This record gives sequence, structure tokens and C-alpha cells, in this order.
Amino acid sequence: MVADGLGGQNAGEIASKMAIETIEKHLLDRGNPLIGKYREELSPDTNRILSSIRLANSAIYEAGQRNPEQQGMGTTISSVFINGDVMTVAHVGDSRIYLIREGRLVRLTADHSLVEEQLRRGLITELEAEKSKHRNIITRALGAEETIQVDADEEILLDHDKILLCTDGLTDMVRDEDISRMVLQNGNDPQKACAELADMANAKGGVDNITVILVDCEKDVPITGGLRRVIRSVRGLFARAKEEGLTGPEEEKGEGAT
Amino acid sequence: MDMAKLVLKFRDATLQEIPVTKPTLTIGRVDKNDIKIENLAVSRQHARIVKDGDRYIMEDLNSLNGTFVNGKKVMKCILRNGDEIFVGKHTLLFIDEEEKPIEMRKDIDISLAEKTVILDTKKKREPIPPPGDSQATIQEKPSELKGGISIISGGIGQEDIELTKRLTIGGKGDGADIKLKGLFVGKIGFIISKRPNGFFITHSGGRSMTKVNGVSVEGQRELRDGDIIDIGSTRMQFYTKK
Repeated sequence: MVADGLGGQNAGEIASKMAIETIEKHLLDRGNPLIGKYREELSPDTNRILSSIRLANSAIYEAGQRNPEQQGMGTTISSVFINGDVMTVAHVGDSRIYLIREGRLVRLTADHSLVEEQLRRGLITELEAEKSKHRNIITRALGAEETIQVDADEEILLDHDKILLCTDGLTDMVRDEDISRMVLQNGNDPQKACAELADMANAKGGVDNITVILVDCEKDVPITGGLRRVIRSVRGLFARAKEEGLTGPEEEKGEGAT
Repeated sequence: MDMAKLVLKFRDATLQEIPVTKPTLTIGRVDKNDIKIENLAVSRQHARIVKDGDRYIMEDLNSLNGTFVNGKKVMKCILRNGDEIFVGKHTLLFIDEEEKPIEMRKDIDISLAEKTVILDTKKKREPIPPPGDSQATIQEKPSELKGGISIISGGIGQEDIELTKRLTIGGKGDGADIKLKGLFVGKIGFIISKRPNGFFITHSGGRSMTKVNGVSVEGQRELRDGDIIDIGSTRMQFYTKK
């Protein structure tokens, strides 16, 4: 999971921390009832993740309403949940998730940002989007409203797939081609790939916090008749403190289950 | 000589007229501001207007939702007669009828704050008109693909399974959508993934391989109408529907 908090003082940090903690707790506690509409086209796992993100939204929203210091706080959330060969991808906001498969980088999430919405609707060109002054405006965030619409999808993982989760601190500065190149160059060393990506963003004048997680997937040799997937999950957190520390991304390592 | 003034409006209603008498006029949600706007979309200290000689300069004070002048998000800019300043859901109309040498608007600080902000949801698409004309070409949602699996032989009570889920699982396990049998068939034997551009099959587990038209599935393989899928002792056919 990657959560990039927003809001004055340290409210952003509070929001992102609340998101990670609430989601984790609700995911692990399988006895809890699900919140929100059950989406039949998605698996029970994915529905539980959706439910946990909705719960986090309510928790942050309510905290913001109660506490004037935290009013208007919010956070992005991008999460993957891996169960065997199946990966759930769920997100809100502009922290991204990429899949790197057979040397190709595919973005699995669509940013909930004003610029990307304008782009999707054909109102602006890609060049205009890159130069837009509204790049930092997001259209959905956990905690911004009473209810939240969460995007979710399911993917089948293949051997040697890599999953990259990151905050906009990386993607505002580093282009997809460069992300792809860095990940592939450091194929056997996810930790180094994360460090180099963060360095690259900083070298290009990045001022925002950066969180990068790279998950390397390997299919295990069949032992007991079934195939098990081994996830080598490596977490890279490289946050360069912003002058005032206005936003504070929270991070957690990718969840791996068999 | 008329003094510059601000007209506070909410939608079409004029709420207040504020003459700009002080060298600095602050705008925000709390009491200590010169212009107090009680709305959650407004930051406690949202923006200020500073008199600089005969010019008035609007500065955003790192507000959460930003300050927009004539629909454009600005951190700092020189105000001109008739400018509309959007703060949260309110508008401040700037009126300064004194003749001045024409000055091109310059955003004094074009390096916008990198801080991410949440767009005020209620006003979502109003304050920021897209550049160029706004002939929106809203994408039509492509009609959804429909496909299914019909069991030809070796099934367990199932005949036809519609592929309505993002991922449909075939295997021996309890969670499988397509129930399979056979000693070497995995709990999850194969997974069919429904994408906007088609259906794809992946072999998942078990020593019994998943075959499409007699060929073992490696990685992900796109399914075509009429493809025959074999696993263990089960034979089935993939079909698409219009």
C-alpha cells in the first residue's frame, strides 16, 4: 500500500497513517461485515479490500469533521493484494501502480486528477496535460467526502512480473520510459531500482515526497502438487523531506499471501 | 476618486461589499480575517490582497483548495478591474475603476506550489475551464463483451458458465467457478480474465496442464470464439455472444 497524505500542518500524515492502519486491520479481521455494495464481478478478496478502503474513508472523514486541526485532510491510496496468482489492484487518487511484464511497463491505475480527467475526456492534449498548472489537483481522495468511489480491478500474475507502487513525487518528475528502464536495469535488485528512481526524481528537482515499492513475483517450483507463488517483496522508502513537511506519505510493504 | 472594492458573492447573490482601505486585506474562514467566509472549502487563512503603490496583488496563502482568478489557479497575481476571485464556493469581484496604465497580467510566481490539493468536489468542473474550446468528446462506453464456457464432457453438473466476472476460476477448489475433477488438476487450474479487449486464459496450478486447441497454455493466451479448452478429463468450449 502507498498512501500520500494531504492537508495542512501534519494532518496529511495523520490521514495517510489512518488509511494504512484501518485498511490493514479490516483486511485481517475477516469476521467484520463488509461495507458498501458488493460487486459481483469481483472476487470476495477484492470486495473485502473495497470495503476496507471505504471504512478508512469514513474514519478519516469523521476525524476531519471532529477535529478542526484536521479539517480537510485526505490521502491517496494505492494498494495491491496478492493471493496466489490473483492480484487485486485498488486505488483512489494519483498514486500509481504499474505492472512490468516481459520488459513492458503497463499502468494499472488511472489517476483521479483533474488533468487526467480532462485528458480522458479529450479536452486537452497530452502535451497540454504535461504543462498544465493543475497537475497537483486531485479529484478523489480518502477523507474528502462522506462516501468514496474506489477503483478496483483484478489481474493474473505471471512468473517474473514486477509491480511498482509509487506516489506522484516520482511520476511528476520521472517519465514512464525512465521508470521502465530503471526497473529493468536493476532486474535482480529491487531495492537498488527504488533508490535509483528516487535519486532520479530528486535530481530532476523533485520537491515532493517520494515513496516507491517494487514487488518482484516468482512462481515457485511445484512441491505439493499445487503451485505456490513466492513473493519477494521489497520496500523502498525514500522520502525527501519537503521544506515544511506538509505532506507525508505513509508506506507499507506489499501484502503477500498464498 | 473611487476606491477599489471587493464584492463578495455566493452564486448570484451579493453578500457584502468591502472597500479596500487597508494595505493588506486577508481572506479566510476564521474571525481574524478582514473578509471572513464561513465555508469548509475555505482555509483558515486562505488568501490576501496587498496594495502595492497603485496596484493590488492577490496572494494565495497555501490554501488547501486554491484561489482562482478568472478560472485560473494562481498563487500570486496583479488584480485588474472586473477580475473574479474564486475562494471555495464564493466569488470576490474586484472593482477598481481608476484609470491605470495597461499592464499585462503576469503571474508573479508561476512556480505553483507542488503541494497536492483536493479539488473542491461541489465545484468540481466549474472554476477551471479547460484550455481551448470546450467541445467535450465524451467517450462512449464500449458495449460490454459477453462470453461463456460450455462443458462438452467430463463436467460436474455444470453445462454453461457465463463469464461475467473479471476473473473466472476453473479448478478443484471450493472457490472455483468452473468445477473440475481429476487427480492432477489444481485447486485453481486456470483463470480466465475478462478485459475490455477480450478474454484471456492463464494456466495457474496443478500438474494437469491447461490446453487450448491441444496446445499447453504458456503465460496468457487470448481466447477466440470456438476455442476448445482441455484440462484433466474435462473438455469445454469458449464462445462469445453479441
